[in-house]
Amino acid sequence: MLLDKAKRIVIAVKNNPFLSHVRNKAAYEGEGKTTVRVLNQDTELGLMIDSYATYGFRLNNGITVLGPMAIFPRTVLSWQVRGSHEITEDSLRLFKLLEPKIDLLILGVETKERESLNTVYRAARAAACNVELLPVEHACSTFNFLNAEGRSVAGALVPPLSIDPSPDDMLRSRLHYQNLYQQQLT
Amino acid sequence: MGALVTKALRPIKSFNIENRAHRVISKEKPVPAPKYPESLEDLKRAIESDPHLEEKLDKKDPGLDSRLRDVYVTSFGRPEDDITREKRTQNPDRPLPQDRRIPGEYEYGFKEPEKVKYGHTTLRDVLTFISAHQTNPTEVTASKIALEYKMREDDVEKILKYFKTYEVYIPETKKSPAIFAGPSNLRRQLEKSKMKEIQSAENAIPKNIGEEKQVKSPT
Repeated sequence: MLLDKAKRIVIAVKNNPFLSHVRNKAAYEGEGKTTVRVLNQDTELGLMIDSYATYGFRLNNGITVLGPMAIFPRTVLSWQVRGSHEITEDSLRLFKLLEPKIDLLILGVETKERESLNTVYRAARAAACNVELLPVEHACSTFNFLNAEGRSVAGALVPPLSIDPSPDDMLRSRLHYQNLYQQQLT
Repeated sequence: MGALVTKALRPIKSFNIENRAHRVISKEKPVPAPKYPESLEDLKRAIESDPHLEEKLDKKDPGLDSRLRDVYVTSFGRPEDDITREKRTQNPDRPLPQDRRIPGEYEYGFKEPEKVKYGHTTLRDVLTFISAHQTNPTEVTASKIALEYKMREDDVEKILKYFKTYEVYIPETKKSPAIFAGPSNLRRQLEKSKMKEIQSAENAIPKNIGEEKQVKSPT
């Protein structure tokens, strides 16, 4: 009886968020102690995609790539397809033949239509690849993360058909192309 | 639960601990630990068989000493260590690593295999033959590549059809917006080794400037 009560008290103490040790081990460690690491700025981690546009992708080595691309940890190849309707078993043949084997092929497509996604998926199955089929917007970041982890990964990305940019994106692209702070006010 | 009991009993156990400890330390001669009854019996038996045992043990015995000096042990054959090491044979195809240094960075981000399966290829080879084919499509044909790299001709054709290397354009002036890499056409520009430069930003890039508003960060 007494033992039971003591146990219950111990459990209550453990579950109390104000008394637990975990509370002090959160990601935010206080002012000046927390650090942020931006993957795209770390050149050791390999090639990554900084941004995407309707005409192509900008990589973290400063190069803008036009058209669909096949991206590998440190290499990029042009992928000669016009859209997701041209993604067939033949156009994915290279990923199947590569050695060391690619653990995961990230397939970024521009459409969200069920039918074309199905055909793309079937093509990937036929090519015997492990495929992560995603919209390009998500495929880019997925590739970045997996590449940063040093996995054997490849990306086959088709640029999106349209983009709805946020004001932040507009500012970023402005900053990239022209120095906003040195311009004269009109 | 056990920890709680220990915590509760700790003050009782450590009552007056300082004084008790000092009492034990300040004794002139430590009290020897009691012997086990079995060892006491052994001792009694030894003294019965030889009453002068304690004196004998204190003195040096020249007879035993000389015997020790006379005996000399030699060994023949290989040391045991060698034989055990030999028995612990390794697989010669997969030797254990001998080098503990951290491997350097690989050019393509991964270790390239030494042997490649028939019909398969490495990224390095792919890049080589694609660029070779692009610079010289009439001479470096798919069948030749297939023969050289031990691949199926059909596979090589498909790879050459769907994958191309890039041609780098670097804008001439600082004002021009960005570096572009577009898929290279079947021209012999790579042979010149000089990078193609865009003469003026106006005639080549406006198309992209128009679309620049649509650039969106993926993260």
